[in-house]
Amino acid sequence: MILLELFVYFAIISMLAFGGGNAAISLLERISVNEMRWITPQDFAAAIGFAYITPGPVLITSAFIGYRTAGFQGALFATVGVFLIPWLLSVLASHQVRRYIDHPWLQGFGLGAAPAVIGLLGITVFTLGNYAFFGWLYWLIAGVALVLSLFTKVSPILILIGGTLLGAWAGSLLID
Amino acid sequence: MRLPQLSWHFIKIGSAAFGGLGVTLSLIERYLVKEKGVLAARDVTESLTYTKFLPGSTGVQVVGYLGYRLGGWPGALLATGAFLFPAFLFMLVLSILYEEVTGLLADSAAPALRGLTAAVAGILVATIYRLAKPAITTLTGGLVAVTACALGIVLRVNPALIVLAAGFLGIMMPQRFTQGQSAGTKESNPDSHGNKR
Repeated sequence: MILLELFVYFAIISMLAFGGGNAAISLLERISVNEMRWITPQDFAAAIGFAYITPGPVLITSAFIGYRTAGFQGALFATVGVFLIPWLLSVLASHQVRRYIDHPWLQGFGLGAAPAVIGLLGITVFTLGNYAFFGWLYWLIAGVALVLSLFTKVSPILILIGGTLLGAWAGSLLID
Repeated sequence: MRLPQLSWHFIKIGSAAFGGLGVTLSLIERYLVKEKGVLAARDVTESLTYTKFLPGSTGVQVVGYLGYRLGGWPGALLATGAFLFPAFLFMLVLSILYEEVTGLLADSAAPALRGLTAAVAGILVATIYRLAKPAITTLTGGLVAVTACALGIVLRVNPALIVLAAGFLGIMMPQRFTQGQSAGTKESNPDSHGNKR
């Protein structure tokens, strides 16, 4: 019963997450902490922290909440619940766009929307920078990451590891 | 692209996609656009365009959208499953070790996390540049991109509305976005046939 409950509530949360995973975090908190009391506020804070240090989407937080509530099966049901419907919608969109791709309206829409979508990624950069740019060393890390990924074949994974290590080192410098 | 190969690529992308959508996009761009050539930068932009209106995790939706493009329904299912598998595994391990890890995080994680985030920001700017090169070829296109970014940051306009407005602009005056670039639309045609393989 609890498994079904997890699945349904996470599915509802996902359908209200207009604007991506981050848009759903407050709803996730309200339902899993205040309303259903699946986890404590401290648990939730840790879960969000974990979501940022693990790869993949931030809504993988659901696996943590599901696990705390009902073990491995809970993690599975919550995770499938939070991703299933948005995933289904996106695949259907992919299917429909292929069918009508030659229609002039869809072509025009794509032409105009593409620059806007790319511009919107700038907001993400801004948000990340707001959090990360705590001193000039962090600006330097971002600059080096940019240059490396534009002009060299260094793997993004190495750049991320390097950034993390440099960040830890910079942190120890700033504190001392 | 064969399905086992597709799954393998998305497992790699899923295990390295620290920092969410930005790195996911940059890894897709690197492995599937640049190295394998099975997708075009336009396809990545397209997947963002049409999932912007849908609720839910954008990263998973971009993977589902492109997975369908690469291998139909089985491709979409395998790509998404493979993409989510490492994240799920990591989260499960952290849930089990919860008490220990939380104590550890509180002390030392913030500066390291800042370093990671700064690197993500840098990589994302490079990705934006690579996606913009084929998609923004006119002054109007550039203005739309800058305006979209500014409206989102300053006035916090809903992204779906911004994309909708820009799309209608494209329908009204498509030539303003393709000026002297008719090659751009032709380029997408062999692509749409190529995918019926």
